[in-house]
Amino acid sequence: MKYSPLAPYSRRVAVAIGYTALHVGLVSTTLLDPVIYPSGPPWNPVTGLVLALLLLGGVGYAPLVVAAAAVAGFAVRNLGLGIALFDGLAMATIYGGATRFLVQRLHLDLRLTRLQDSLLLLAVGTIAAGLHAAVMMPLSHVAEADLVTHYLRLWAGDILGIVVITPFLMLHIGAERLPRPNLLNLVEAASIAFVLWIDFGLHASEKFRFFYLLIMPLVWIAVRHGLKGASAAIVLAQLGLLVAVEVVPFPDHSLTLLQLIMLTLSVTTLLLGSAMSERRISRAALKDSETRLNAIVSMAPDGVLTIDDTGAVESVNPAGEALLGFAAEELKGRHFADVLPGLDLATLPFRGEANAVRRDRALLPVEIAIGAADLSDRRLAVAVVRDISQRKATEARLWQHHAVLANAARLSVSEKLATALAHQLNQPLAAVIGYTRAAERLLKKGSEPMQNIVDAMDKAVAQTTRCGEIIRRTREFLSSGDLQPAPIFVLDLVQEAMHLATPQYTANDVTLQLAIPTDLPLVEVDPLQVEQVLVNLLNNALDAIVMAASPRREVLLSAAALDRNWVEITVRDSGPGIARGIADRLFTAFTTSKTNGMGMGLFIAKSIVEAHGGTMRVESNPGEGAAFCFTLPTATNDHDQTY
Amino acid sequence: MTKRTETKPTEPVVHIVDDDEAVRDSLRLLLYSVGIEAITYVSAADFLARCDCARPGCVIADVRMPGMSGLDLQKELLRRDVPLPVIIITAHGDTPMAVGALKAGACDFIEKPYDDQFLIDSVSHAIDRGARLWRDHERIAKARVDYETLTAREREVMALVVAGESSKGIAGHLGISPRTVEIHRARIMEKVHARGLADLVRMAHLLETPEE
Repeated sequence: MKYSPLAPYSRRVAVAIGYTALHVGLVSTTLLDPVIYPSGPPWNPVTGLVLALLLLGGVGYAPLVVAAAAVAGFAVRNLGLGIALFDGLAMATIYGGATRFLVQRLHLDLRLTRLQDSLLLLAVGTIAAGLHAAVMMPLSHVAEADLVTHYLRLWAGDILGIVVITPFLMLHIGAERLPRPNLLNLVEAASIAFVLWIDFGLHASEKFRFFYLLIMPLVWIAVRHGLKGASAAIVLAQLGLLVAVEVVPFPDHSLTLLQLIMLTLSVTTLLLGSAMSERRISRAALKDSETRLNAIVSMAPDGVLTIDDTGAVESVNPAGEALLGFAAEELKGRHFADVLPGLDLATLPFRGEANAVRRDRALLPVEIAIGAADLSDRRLAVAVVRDISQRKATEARLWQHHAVLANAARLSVSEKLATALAHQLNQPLAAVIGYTRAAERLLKKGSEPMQNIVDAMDKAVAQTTRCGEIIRRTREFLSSGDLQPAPIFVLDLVQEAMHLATPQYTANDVTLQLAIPTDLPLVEVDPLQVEQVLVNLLNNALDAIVMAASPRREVLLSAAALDRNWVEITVRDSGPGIARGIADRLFTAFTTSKTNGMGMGLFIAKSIVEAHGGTMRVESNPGEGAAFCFTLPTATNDHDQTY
Repeated sequence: MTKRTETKPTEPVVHIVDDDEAVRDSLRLLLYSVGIEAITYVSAADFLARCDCARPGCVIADVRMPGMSGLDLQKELLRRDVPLPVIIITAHGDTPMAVGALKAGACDFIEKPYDDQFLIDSVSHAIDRGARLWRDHERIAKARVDYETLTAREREVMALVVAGESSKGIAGHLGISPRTVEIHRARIMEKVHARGLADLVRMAHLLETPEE
């Protein structure tokens, strides 16, 4: 038996003595004046005691039951020893069997935490009581006509004993300490006494007519204190009833009726108390699990946000507050896209990296895991957000180190591309020369069949076509390069290019001004690629001013939102503007106005911009400088883009 | 050494090694137009596998090819002692590479797109040089064969003769009679087909060329 509050040996001795005393004491309460009450006592509290003992202490206590019954029967009830022993054996066997059945088959929880436990106890107790009453029948000396009535009376008496005594003992003996009674407990007890007084004192002549009033204090106590209070109240009411019966003589048949009403009241009260207890326990368990969950969530090092089905943030934990820079109250009710843009809650679960937007509009690289929780009435999204800025910073530092070394190479990327292109073109060009010169020599020789010469010329033409193909492919390669677009603020995008260009500007005494509005939407681009575009344009602007020795030496880098899909960036210089002859060929490869240029820079820049879905154009008024403008898609761009 | 006293060499052939089919084919046609026979190969490995190195000629190899580069091929031919001069062609020439190739023994270095006349001149020059290399190579091979027929004692005697020792001196060195030395000398001259001391010295010089 798992739950056995009576186990230790010394306590077992105490139990044996205490139990015997209680058994004898309870038996003596049933000794009514046989003249007034010829049908015997209205209840049998000893059965309740026996069942409680066997349940709490185990069926090993069965001999004690027999012994105590023998003592009580012999000493108090003046029965023969044989009959007394029979009484004890009957109780020990029947209630011992009931105990085994309850504990081993039905797995009764001895703390009666669930309503189900109380119901099982009552049901099995009722059946056992029926058996016990049947066994005890032969000991009664009643007229044949009264046999059924007597049986029912014995049965009800047993049940009442169980209802009143067993739960009370199970709940109170198992208790670790005796709670101190407070004033309210006294009032409660007094209310029972008061109702009993109404019944038996004030309205003694009305007999038990107001007895049902007892239900009110019993219900009140059951609701307030649950099963424990209910069981105590029943015991109290029963004791009060016994006293009242002693004080106020009753007609015998009234006592039987009283006993049945008491039984009904007791069962009702017990079940109500049990239901209340169960509710209280499950509510406490719920509260415990909530508290536990809250503790976990609030202690979590990662930000945890719950988002309702409209996308509004429902809650955020302290780590989330710190991470996003919002107080929980500020964030609640906001749309999650304000802080976690670019996420789609339609396809959950989601796990990946993204940028969170903090309260100060700073971007924070985060790792996000979002899952869905289907509540009873709606769907809740739970987002766990981890700050990975540290990791990103480390990565960035490593890259920066790398970038310092690679910087020179990056600035001359157009030359590199031009070299590669030249190599590609030189192959077919060499072949063209070979074929045409060979054809020429064969023609001059005169003896060669014409078909061979024509073949050579055809092959030369094919190679010329190949040259065009290479140009086209190169352009395609540039525009289908490995783009890795990510949302970024225009200011951040521009700053790296500025950083690269500034030394040259300073050295040539040219001012580089920046005009980037702070409320620009995020753009979604490959920062490294767009950086090349910016570096290229900034270098061109600088070269234009320096080569023309312009009196005004300034370059303005500005940005503006065209609409919700596009941001336009402009690099405007104070140079001489673009010569008419070159303006319309400006973006084709190998076109340059520089003495040492390859004519690849703008060609590549335009290709990169077009790869992002944007466009590049130039505004130029001779004498007033040139402005190169290009568009970049915003992070919220819903146009089709081909990367 | 410019005297054409040896047997007339076989017709020269140009080996074109380039991974670009059009470049290979146009070069072959250009050389054909001036009456030079050419064989084309798609890679250095292809060339090494198929080349008939018994014919004189030269090699035109592209620097940048998948697998073995033109420069590596040139080194490999040197290592194998193949008497074919190499012309390196490239579509992306840079000075250090050209200098390096010429230092390593390349016959010429030509950038694509090339001037046809310049290329033809370069090839003709390489073929001449190849013919000389081929003749030298033939003679060395012959000398080696002859040398193999000498006995150990005869080789000792020959080394001392070439070093300028008199028969008497040689007899002293080897502890044999001057008469025996004279007999060895006559046998040596006969075996290596030398017409006099000068021939013997020239042959010894050829034999000093590293075998590998």
